[in-house]
Amino acid sequence: MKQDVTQQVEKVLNSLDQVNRASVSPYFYSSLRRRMEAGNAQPQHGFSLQPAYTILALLFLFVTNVYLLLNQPVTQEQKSTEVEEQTQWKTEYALQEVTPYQENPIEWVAIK
Amino acid sequence: MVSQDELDLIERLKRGEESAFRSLVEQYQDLVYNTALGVVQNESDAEDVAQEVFIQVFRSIGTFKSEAKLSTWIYRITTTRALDLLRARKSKKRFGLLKRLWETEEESPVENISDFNHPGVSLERKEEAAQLITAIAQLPENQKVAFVLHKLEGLSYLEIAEVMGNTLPAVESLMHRARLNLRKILEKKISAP
Repeated sequence: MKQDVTQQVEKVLNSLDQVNRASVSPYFYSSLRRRMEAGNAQPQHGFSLQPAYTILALLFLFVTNVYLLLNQPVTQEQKSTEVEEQTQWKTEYALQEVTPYQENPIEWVAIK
Repeated sequence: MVSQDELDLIERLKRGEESAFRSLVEQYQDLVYNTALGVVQNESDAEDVAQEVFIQVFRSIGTFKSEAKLSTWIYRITTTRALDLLRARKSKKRFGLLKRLWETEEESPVENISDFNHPGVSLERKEEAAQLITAIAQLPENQKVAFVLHKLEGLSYLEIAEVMGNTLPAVESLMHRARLNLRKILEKKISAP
């Protein structure tokens, strides 16, 4: 059995001995000239802006942005600055929080 | 050693004579096509590679120094271009799923590599040759190039060394490893039920 396999492998390995050379089509030269004249001599397998690549790039940018936005760490310094700003605004525009009692204390007591 | 005819042809090519370019293409077109076909294993891709090779020869003949034979230089360009195409094909496969959504029928490769039959193989050896060609496709790049140049183009190990810019012992070792790998691949395939 193993000898059969070895023989078969040798047969396959020698199957390209004395193979004839493959020939191009008779129109090879004329199509080559056409291509050269058309200036289409650049290889066509580089990076290209095909829709698939463009969408993939946009998708990648979108996911990266969302990820960064959701995972943005808020520092203690940022928090205290925000509180300070709010306080300044409140002071400047007299936006003190007023409870119903402070607004009309007599009415409030009457209801109670 | 470069012959006088070859030196004349190179000079005429450097002067940009169209008749010289035509005679260069006629002289080397089958060499280029057959080598490319052995590596890329697809007839239209091989023709595309062959065209690119002649365009590159036309553009860079000015830089060619007649120290090496013209055929050695052309073999080198051919194998490089053919391997470039294989790499591009591999990266295309990675994006294949996404690309298939936008590709039209004409753009997608119609021929299947595993179905490839070399046109120069005789009818009685066709089946075995197809098995060998499929196995060659699985070899690493250097081994593939060396094996194709030896088997399909009949180049000696010394000529292969010149084309690949290697030493003779390096090519001998490359061919030895190529045979070992091919044996392994074929044994596995043949003994499988």
